[in-house]
Amino acid sequence: MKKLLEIPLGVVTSVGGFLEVGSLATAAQAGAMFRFQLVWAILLGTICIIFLVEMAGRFAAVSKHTIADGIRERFGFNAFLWPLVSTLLVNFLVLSAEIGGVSIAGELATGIGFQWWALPAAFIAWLLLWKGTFGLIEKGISLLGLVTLCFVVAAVILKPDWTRVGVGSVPSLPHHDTATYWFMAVSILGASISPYLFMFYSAGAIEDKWNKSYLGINRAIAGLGMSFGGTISIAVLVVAALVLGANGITQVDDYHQLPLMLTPVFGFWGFVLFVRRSASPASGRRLRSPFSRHTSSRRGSGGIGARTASLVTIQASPWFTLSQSSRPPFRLHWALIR
Amino acid sequence: MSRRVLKFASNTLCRLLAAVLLAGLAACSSSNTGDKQAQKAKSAANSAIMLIDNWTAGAAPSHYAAATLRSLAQTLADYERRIQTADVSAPSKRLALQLTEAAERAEDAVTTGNRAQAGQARQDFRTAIAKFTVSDFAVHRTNP
Repeated sequence: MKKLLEIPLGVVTSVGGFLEVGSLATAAQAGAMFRFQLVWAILLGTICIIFLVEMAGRFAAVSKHTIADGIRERFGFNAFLWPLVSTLLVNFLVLSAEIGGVSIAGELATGIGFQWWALPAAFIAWLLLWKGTFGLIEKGISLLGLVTLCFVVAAVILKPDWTRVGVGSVPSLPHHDTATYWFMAVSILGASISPYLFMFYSAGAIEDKWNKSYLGINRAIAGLGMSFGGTISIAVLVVAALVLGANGITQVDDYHQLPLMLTPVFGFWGFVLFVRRSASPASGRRLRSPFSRHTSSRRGSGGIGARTASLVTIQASPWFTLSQSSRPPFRLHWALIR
Repeated sequence: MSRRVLKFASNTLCRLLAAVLLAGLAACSSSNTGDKQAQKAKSAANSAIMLIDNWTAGAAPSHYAAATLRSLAQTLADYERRIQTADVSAPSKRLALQLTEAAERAEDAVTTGNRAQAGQARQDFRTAIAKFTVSDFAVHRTNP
């Protein structure tokens, strides 16, 4: 019974943590520019991440090793060193971007420039990690992330032509901006298949002492959680197509444009919902990582490998994409590091 | 065996990165830079109209509307600067100027809470967009 209860909780945290601002911004850009034509890229990304997460959970439950542990022990430390170094660098950059994202939410809410919010945002994140309990970090913040469901509600209210959305789930050639189309498809895949998701998942499975009896639970959480997350991504794309694209806003290259997606549906509350979604310092998955590292080290089971599994999960939303990703070089940068 | 797998994985990763890099470069160095600039300007103008509508309806707070219009005005001003130095017709240059001025008026209207002026700016945007044809505005590649 206890195991069964873990399914809805796992699904909820997966949904809350799935759609980060990087995915949100990319889906919005794709929807505004190509309407429903890139739905297939989100579907493909979601299928990939379902398989990866399921395999990561299965690997951990059966072998009692995190993914990082497995890589280190199978291929040796030298082979593992490069992923370790690059992961550290990526996590540093992405964590900085996350703080930048919260700062932008602060600017949207108050009008005070985002530069002034960087230190308070970093402090709050630190405080949450230092004082917050494990449950608060993982479940509480992920539950708050469920506010993203407002995009699904908006998509339903806007009554899209579902046949056209369905047609978009099949890959097709673009009628214009071919290079941008394919670049955006790669960006969507990059935003969907986030390494931290499955790296963290395996670390979490070890912490929660999963064994073979959890394989069914693992399958359900991976399948349902990621599917719901993918659904929200598609909803963002649909809303962007129906609100931004339909109003002639085909180039989403300024984070100020994003709240406009929700205001035609929810009015002022649309703006509030968007800021609220953006203000989450990070999903529970990402904030949880330092805890993972701590427990792994204390348990003495992992050494550098286990710690790296945790470090990988520090990845935060590439909030930076909101302000910069629409410029190709920056988008490329994020597509690469993610 | 494990080395072979590792080598295969690293080769695949390198090829994937190269493909992403090529796609990125292709997106950056598109041949129709002028069209893209024009599309961007048109999109910014449409964003401004939508924002003014939202602000007038009370769906967007003033500080956010003003900041957004400031940013959009910057985009339109950049476009106008390019147009002024490019080999395009005089009406096109006037239209670019009209867009920039409309954005500045809209920002001013939102800052001072003047709804009538905001409405006028919105009308100016609509008029300019109606005249707007991407091909007319396109900055020829031969001219910086």
